[in-house]
Amino acid sequence: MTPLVVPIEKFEESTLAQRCALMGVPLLGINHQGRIIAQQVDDTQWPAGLIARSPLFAAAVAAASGAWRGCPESDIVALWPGCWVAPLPIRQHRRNVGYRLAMFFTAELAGSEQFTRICDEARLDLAAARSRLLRRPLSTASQIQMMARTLAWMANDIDQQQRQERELDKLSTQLGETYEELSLMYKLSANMSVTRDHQRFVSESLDEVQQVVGLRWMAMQLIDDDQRLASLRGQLIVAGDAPADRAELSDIARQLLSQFKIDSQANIVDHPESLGIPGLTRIARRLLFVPVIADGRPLAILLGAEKLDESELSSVDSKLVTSMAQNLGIFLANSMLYEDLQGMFMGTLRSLVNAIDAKDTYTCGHSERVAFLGRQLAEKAGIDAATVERLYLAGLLHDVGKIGVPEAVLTKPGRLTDEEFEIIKTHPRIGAHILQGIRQMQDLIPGVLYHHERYDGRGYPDRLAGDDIPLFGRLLCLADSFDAMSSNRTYRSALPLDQTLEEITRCAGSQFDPALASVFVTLDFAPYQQMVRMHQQRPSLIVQELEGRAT
Amino acid sequence: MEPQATGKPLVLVADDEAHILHVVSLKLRNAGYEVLTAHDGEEAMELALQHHPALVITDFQMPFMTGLELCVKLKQTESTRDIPAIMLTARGFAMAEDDLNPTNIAAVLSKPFSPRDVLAKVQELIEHQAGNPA
Repeated sequence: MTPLVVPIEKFEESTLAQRCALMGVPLLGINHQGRIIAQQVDDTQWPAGLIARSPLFAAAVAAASGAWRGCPESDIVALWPGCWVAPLPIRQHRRNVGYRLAMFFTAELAGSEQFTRICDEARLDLAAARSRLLRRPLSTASQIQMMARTLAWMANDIDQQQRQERELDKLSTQLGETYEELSLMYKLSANMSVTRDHQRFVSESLDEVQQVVGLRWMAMQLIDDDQRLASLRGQLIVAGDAPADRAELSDIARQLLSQFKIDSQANIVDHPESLGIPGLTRIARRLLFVPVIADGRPLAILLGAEKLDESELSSVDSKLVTSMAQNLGIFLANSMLYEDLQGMFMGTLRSLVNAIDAKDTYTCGHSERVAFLGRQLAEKAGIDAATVERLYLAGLLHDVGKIGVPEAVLTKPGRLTDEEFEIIKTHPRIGAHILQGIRQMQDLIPGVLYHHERYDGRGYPDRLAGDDIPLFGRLLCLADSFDAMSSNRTYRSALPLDQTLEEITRCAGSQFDPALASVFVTLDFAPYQQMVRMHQQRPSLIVQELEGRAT
Repeated sequence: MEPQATGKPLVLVADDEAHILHVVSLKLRNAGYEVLTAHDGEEAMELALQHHPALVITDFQMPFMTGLELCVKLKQTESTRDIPAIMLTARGFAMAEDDLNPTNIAAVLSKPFSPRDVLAKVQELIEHQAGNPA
């Protein structure tokens, strides 16, 4: 059975009903079977109410309505002499599902047999009713015809306008969704820098997609067997109202990842029980999953549960989640490449440092301690974090030039001759040459080249003075000199801390940048001393190896 | 139309692009707001004076009066001075602090915007307003 299209309580709210009320035209609603289901008639429209309530009228409407069906534009219909109705179709998806009937009366009504019967049934005095009817301003049939046409056109226009409004709303909804997707994609790609915290990026991406698609929860499970991306390996990251039992969720995700063929498109599963994974039906009524592929193999799986509004998972949803998986795949692949690069860079750097240690075992750990102190000083001097990290690397490498200095000179016990000292003085320049070819280390060179310059201009290699000495040079000069004074050398033993600091203060302005020197003496040296002890007890692997071979 | 008769908070949306008006007003109506739309800054100002919306969402580039001029005028006018505004602008258009000072612009969202974000901002601002009656 077709439902009633115009609920009675809403009938009077329709634009057509409101306009008919303003024009004083009585209006009825009938369903597709011709039964009267709504009336908008008032006393000023007499005798419309009297007639509309009569069984005679209801029967006449029911009998006549069959003829209107299928005719899109019905003309006015005389139910009996003087009683006219104009059927105005109510349409739903271009089908007539009922009619609104505008009622009109002409003078013939007064003489009709039907009017007599209705008055009888209502116990009205027929003569009085007739004269009351004829006193009313009645229209002619041709005027009614015109009026009915106008109403029909208006009804049509209103229908069309409403249909267009509905279409516009639908389009606006779709456009809104497109905006949502566009802004989601923009957000995801704008945040896709490899230097960001990986877990946070994945977590924020999941949050966004879960909310935009409107899924109850989303999760991403990463595989365990890739050595890179340590912070993400084997992790389960969730968004939304995720199942409380994370271990079970993680287990289900791993099963999905291992059991289903790798297809880069998202799978929509309307009946999760069909997958035969224990526990799955407890956590999702519908499921959407897609692998995250990086480096040509699945690195993770992305899964999401049914939608919060209970609607079905659509192709739009699956496309969004697929795009997200692709984005994440690119992000993870880039992050792994970046990690490889970083590893390569740090490996190269470490091997250079080890080469210095191997050459001059006596100063074992010196490079590391200078880097450490330099970083401590730079931090306390208020230098930004990124620069501080570069300074640390420059500290590690500051003596790399010693590789090019003959071992006999480098490890000679006792005082050096002037000639030997001249040879030692070449190490900053040799160090700078060694690093010259590595683009990623260019910014470290000033620290290597100028860590023996003095504030008063009497240092080497370029006799720079004051602020002409690059910052890295001034910082490392302090750290280097401090470590040299604090350690045993072939020609003297270490100075105690208070004497070393006195020496630093005494040389502020001559050897050292006075501003930096005054910061330096306020540092906490406990971690440094800890490091010295550690280096004495357990020299680096290289040194152990060399010493082992010597014995 | 009697916008305030329903008791729902009234939001005025001004944009010369019809599709933006539709997307924003549909999102807001579905979330239970009453929405009035204007196609330029002048119309928006007239509607704001007549209906005192709880909030104004405006585009920057509009004929007759830009969104920024509208917001300055809203703040200068006694009866509309406390109405908060959200500005929607094309991406890359950065608003300077000096531009925002003489206005009640509480948020600047770049186009294409997320309708969800716009709604969240509207809810936040209207709730804030309800919490601190001006």
